[in-house]
Amino acid sequence: MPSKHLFLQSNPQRWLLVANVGAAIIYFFVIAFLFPHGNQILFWLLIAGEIFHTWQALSYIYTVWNMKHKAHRDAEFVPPVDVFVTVCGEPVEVLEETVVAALNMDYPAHRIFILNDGYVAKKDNWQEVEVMARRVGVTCITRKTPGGAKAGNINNALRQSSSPFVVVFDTDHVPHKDFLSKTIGYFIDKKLAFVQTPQYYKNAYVNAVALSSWEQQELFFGPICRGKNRLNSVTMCGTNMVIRREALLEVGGMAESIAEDFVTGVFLHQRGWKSLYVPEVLAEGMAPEDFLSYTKQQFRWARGALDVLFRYNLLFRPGLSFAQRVQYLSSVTYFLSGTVVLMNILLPLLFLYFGLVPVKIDTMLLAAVFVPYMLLTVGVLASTSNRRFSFRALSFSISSFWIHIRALWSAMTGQKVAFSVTSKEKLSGNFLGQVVPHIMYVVLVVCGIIFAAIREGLSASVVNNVAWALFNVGMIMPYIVAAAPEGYMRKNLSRIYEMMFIPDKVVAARLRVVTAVEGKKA
Amino acid sequence: MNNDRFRLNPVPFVILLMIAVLVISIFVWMGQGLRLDEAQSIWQTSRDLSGVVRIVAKDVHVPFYFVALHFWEVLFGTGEKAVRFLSLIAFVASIPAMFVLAQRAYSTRVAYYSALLTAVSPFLNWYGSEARMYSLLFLVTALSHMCFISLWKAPTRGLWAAYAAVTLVGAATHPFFGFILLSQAIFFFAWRGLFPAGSLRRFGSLAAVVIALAAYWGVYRHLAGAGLSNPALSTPTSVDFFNVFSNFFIGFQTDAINTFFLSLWPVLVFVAFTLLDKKHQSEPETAYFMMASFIPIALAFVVSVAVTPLFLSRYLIVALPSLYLLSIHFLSTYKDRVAKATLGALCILSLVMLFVQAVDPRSPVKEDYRDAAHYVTAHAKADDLFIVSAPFTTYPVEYYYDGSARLATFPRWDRFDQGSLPEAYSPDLIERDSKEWEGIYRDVYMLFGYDQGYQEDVRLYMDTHYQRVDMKTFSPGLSLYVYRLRYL
Repeated sequence: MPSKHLFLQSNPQRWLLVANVGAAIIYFFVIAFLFPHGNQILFWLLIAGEIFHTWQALSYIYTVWNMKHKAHRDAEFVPPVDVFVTVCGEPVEVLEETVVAALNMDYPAHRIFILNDGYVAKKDNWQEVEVMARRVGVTCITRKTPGGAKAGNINNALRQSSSPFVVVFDTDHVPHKDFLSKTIGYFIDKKLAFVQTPQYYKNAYVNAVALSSWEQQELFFGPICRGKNRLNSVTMCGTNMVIRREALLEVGGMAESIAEDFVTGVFLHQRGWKSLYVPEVLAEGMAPEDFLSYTKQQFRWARGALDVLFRYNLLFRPGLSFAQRVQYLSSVTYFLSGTVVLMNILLPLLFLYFGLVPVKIDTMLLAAVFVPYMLLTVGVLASTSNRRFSFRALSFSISSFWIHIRALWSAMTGQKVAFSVTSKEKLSGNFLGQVVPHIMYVVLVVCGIIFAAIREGLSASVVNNVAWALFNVGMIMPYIVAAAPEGYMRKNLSRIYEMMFIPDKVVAARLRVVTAVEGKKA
Repeated sequence: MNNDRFRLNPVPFVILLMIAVLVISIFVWMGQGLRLDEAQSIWQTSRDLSGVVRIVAKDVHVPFYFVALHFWEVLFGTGEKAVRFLSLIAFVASIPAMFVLAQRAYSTRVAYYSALLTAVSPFLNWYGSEARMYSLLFLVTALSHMCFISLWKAPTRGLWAAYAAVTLVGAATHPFFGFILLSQAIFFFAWRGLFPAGSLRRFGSLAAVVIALAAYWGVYRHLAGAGLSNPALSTPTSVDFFNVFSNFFIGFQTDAINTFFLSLWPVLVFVAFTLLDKKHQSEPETAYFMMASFIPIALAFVVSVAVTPLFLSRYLIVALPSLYLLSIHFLSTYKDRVAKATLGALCILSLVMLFVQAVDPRSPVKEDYRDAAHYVTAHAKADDLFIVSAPFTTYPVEYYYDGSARLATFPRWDRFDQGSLPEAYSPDLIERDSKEWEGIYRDVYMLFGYDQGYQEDVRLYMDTHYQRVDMKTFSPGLSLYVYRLRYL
């Protein structure tokens, strides 16, 4: 089981942050002003990409600059609480574990509500949920009128409950006994609208997909959320959170958007309400265990964030502080990175095939500014995440470029996207269809190397661009491997992958699983 | 990383490496002719002790190595192999030193690979058989690291004494050792809690001694007329910056090979990203070695650009022990088989480059003054003139030259009458000198090496005014031109 505290314990070294800012600025100016331009279109695309990178780097450093934040908690403050557990077709046994854990929370005045959306979502097991609710003795609110997806489900429950505080758990997020006792006390501050806690994945070590997913979470729920805390800009994440009913009703309940939690948080901050992040694992959920679930989850997040970017005018929205604008913009613009990644990985190919370059560059001068910048970035990521962010997570983040591009296209064209929950069961099969652009890239690189070598031999430019292309292939390869089908290919690719990148624990965990399965078979 | 997997006995392993290095050095490297710097070392040390110190003071260096070489020459003479053997001893001693240092800092696996990489390093092999202070500087730096990290792990009075001794020897071996002391000072203040009580007082006392000796040497140099014989170095570029790293790992290769490897730098960035992993906890040793690796290189570059050029990879050998250790440590944290593969690849790459460096005559640092001098000895007659340019390249030529033609320099340089300052070059000097030569000599043999910025002008002048009768290149950047001054 992954550590429940290490990702919350980073203590960034300020000199490293300052040096990284300096390196980022120097790199940008060198790229923008020091070299003669090559192809004009590529040059301006590159500059746009670099502006984006610099913005991301600076906003990240601004966020993690100080992660210390103290808020007063009154342990004697124990108002009534309604606990909402949302369900929309997930397995009943998964839901039951969460409900039972919620019932067993150490708190004198809480009621449990199962918010059953199975009926409106036409899920087969909606009645089983009601049976289970009766069996364990909790209220089940089964919605009969559709609309608003998860937000609509919660809003429906708000109308049928009355406690001044509401807790929301997704189906698979099993709360600890002390969840309420460690969160409710903060609401002694009458301006506090919501408390968010980490979204911890207890199944992270099951496989590479779950682990990568968790490691990305570690960066977000570690340094990023802790940094947002001091800026009163905590992102509402939709589960493992406590909300003041009064505040929620003031903004009209949960915003019925694809990113309902995020948007609701924005609305609350806009009205001057405060937010708090409690950096302690108080509930344990499940990471997506298969590639398809992972990509669906990423698409949903990206689509939601981009929807916010295009529809909610975060830059000029009244009521938000400067820090909140920066934080929200930083969060949603991250999902624009797909286009920048695509451009960056295409640059070496454009040279290998057509000899096109954005700038006529002295490669060693570029190295002189780029290498320190990247090493410092690696150092900052390692330092601020308490060394929890891994190459694997970085690889998955970068390789999600195609998901982000699809989400961007979907958001720009206003395509309707149905709300879907992340599967709580591992799906098996061939997911290579999800990584066709990545496979095409590898093929193009191989052909491009041959093509360029025939055209101009192993010149310094060819070697340098080949190195960049291999850099990109190395970055996306773990992602392709994770999508490979079960069987011979997956087995062998996975062995190589695990050999290189997965800690011993994963292999050990997997061995235990295999042994257990084989034991049963015997 | 599992140390228990290494069941090899380290003693025979290290001894084997030491013997291999000795054999290769004696039969490959020591067979080469003396290079400029080496001949200068011999010239500087072939006098009485006070004379050695005085002459070194005029140069850019500090005296420890030269004093040691002086006594070494008293015992073993000034033959090619004899003068180089002192450096070879330091190089060979560096192999067990790196093993012990790596074992104390990290693990037995890192120790084995560190010893192996040290032994096959083309850069260290080159300086391991050069009659200069660089292999000694490498050894002293490794010992300094060893003492320094032991001071926070298991400090004893003896260790403090050893650290003090190593510090004084290092500071007296090369000024760049100061960068290591600076790195240690920064590390000490940043990680002060690691060190036992009283460390500040001890470090402070030692620093005071080092500063006092450095100040004394500074005053002495000033009075002796320091810096007059400094070769002109150019301001380093980003290419020079990265060449330091390529020199460290692949040695001295031709431009084509060097450019190939340097162009692969994005792969190194990729490797850095793959090192992002939960396994990499923040060890103080790693922080210290990073400082000891990058502070000297970065500071030397900044000083070279902002103040005065002093950016040479051989000076920066002080960064090499820590850089090797870091590289091996990071690669060894991969999963077992990948670690073995990458570490093996690194050592094999070094070994291959060592071989290429040994056999490729185009290696840019090869200086075949011996063949050049022997050639002139065999061909020049008593009524000919042998000119070497730049003037200070006369040291290795003098060592080998035994011909009947008069040996002189261009521009003129009489080290005994004018101190160590050659005549300042101006375009009319060659016209003046060649007119003078015309009246006395028949042919002039002009050996051009170590271009100081005027070589091409001189060659063009001679080509356009006299008949060139012969031309021969002995090593990269070392060419002989023979001109007929007059016909009998």
